Amino acid sequence: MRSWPHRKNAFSIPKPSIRLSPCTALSFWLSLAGGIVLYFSFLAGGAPDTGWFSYAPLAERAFAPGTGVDYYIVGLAVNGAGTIIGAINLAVTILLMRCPGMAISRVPLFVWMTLITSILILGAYPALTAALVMLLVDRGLGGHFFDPAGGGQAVLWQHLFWFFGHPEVYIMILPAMGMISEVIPVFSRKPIFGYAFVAGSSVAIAFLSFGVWAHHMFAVGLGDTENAIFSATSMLIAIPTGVKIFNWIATMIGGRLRMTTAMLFAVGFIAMFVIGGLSGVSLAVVPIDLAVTDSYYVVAHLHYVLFGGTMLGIFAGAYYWFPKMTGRLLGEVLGRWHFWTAFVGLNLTFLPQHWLGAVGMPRRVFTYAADTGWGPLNLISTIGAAILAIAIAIFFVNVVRSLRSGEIAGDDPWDAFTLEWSTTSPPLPENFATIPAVTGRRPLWDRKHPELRDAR
Amino acid sequence: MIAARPAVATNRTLLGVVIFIASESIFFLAIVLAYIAYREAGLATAKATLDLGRTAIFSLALFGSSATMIGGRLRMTTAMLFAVGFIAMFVIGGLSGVSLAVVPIDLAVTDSYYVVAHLHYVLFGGTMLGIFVGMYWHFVDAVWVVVFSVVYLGTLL
Ligand SMILES: [Cu+2]
Repeated sequence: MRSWPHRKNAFSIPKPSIRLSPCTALSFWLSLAGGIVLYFSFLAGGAPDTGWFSYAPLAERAFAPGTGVDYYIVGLAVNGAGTIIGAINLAVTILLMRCPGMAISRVPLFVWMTLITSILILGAYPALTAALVMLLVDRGLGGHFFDPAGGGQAVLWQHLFWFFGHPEVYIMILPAMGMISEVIPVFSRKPIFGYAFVAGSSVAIAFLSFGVWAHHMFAVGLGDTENAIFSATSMLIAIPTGVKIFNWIATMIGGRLRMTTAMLFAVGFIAMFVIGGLSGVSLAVVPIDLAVTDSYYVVAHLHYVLFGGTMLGIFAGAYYWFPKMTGRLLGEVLGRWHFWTAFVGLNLTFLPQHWLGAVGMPRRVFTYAADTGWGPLNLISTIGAAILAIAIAIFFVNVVRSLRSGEIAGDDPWDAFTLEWSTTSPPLPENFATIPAVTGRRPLWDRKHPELRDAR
Repeated sequence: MIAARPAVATNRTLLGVVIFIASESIFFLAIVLAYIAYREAGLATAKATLDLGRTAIFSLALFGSSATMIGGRLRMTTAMLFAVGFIAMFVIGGLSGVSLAVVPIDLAVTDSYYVVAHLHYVLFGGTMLGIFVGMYWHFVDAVWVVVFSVVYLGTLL
């Protein structure tokens, strides 16, 4: 174990002579192997047909006799092991491998979000692994953890699964929040508003996210007291999330905005995430949840968070860091087409689903009777999905074209603030020729404007 | 610079292992709590099938191996790897031998948990030996103390 560091992160927190460590390799190959095992189930006697959450007792041997669920168990466990090792790797790198001057209160917010995400992974994944092991024991060794007839409880699966499942939502959204926390200041020509609050609110989110899992189980019948407690904690988590929204908006206020494609996606993230977040708060209200549980309303909510949020954030990051990764800029003209088709497409697809859910269309149905009246809204949704597909196609065309003939980016095409833009594009194998000096939260800005240096 | 490097590397490894153990604790905690919660239904089977005495003896061998490492500064030479590997294989082989000897094919809940413990001896005690053997070895022993108390001594209730 001579070197722990992870390639991507070592890049944000410079330290020379960093190689791909065995730990990084182990994490990657385990994750890939887990995914392959899961997908191999399609070829080996059928996919796991018990939903992505694989609820017991449906996933028990008696109701799912095929091998699909077994592949699900092994695939997710192996993938989870890789994820946990990756999280340890990233956390250790961030905590112990920073260059001189790079205090934890100065690291880029993307790195902060990576640290919080790693901590969430380390707390959440073991619960899933434990549930998977119990399911394996039930299915393969005649155990009864989830079998009421044998003294177990089916609801135990749901508790363990959602103890993992809710933090998992933040594991998916926090890195995207970190990305736009880098993009918005650079294209607003201002430092982030309230750095400590953006970082600190993530700590609060991480802490709270382990105490809200039963909001996925309001309809199970846990009891009014339990439901009330989990409803309250779920609403509480909207506060640190809202803090971030205000920080991003306040960063833009008074700034000289440059609406590049990266910035468009970042602003799109904020708008869409606010919608997804608000419908999330509405789902935290038990009576509303009971009315729309397992309906298209939930589908609409989660897609505003995961597509409107995570995906738009990742696209913002892609346009922002593509020149650093490849040395060429992603095309801005196709980029704008990409953004607007994605933005229109996602709203056409997912906005009508709020109404479909509110009038009672259930999730996971492949057809419905004509007299339900759900046809027109579903048609809009389908058109939106086609536009979304076009958006993704434009993105891939843009990537291929830009790789071949994109504008040469240079080291610092965005006049950015953070250290990765002080090295070559793409970076040297050791990232930096010499250890850069870190004097504040925006070391590159400080170097370019010594007279306007940040106070911290 | 040269003098500082090994210390930093040790810190990194140490922090990594500590984080890993913290994460693993959640895993074991979930399973042990689930076992305790649903133990009643399988208790009669457990009493009939688990061999407390022999498992206690094998446990002593396990703790002995852990105790041997305390105080000593572990140098993972090839010979040491083989030695530790032998202890691990012996313990695993011995314990699973016991379980195979006494447990019918249709394992009860309790015995299933027993298998889980074995699984982890193989996975973590075995494959990642060179890296984690020191601290993780003690951690696994601590887990075994809990498992032994809950599962095996539990049959005396
Ligand atoms: Cu949730």
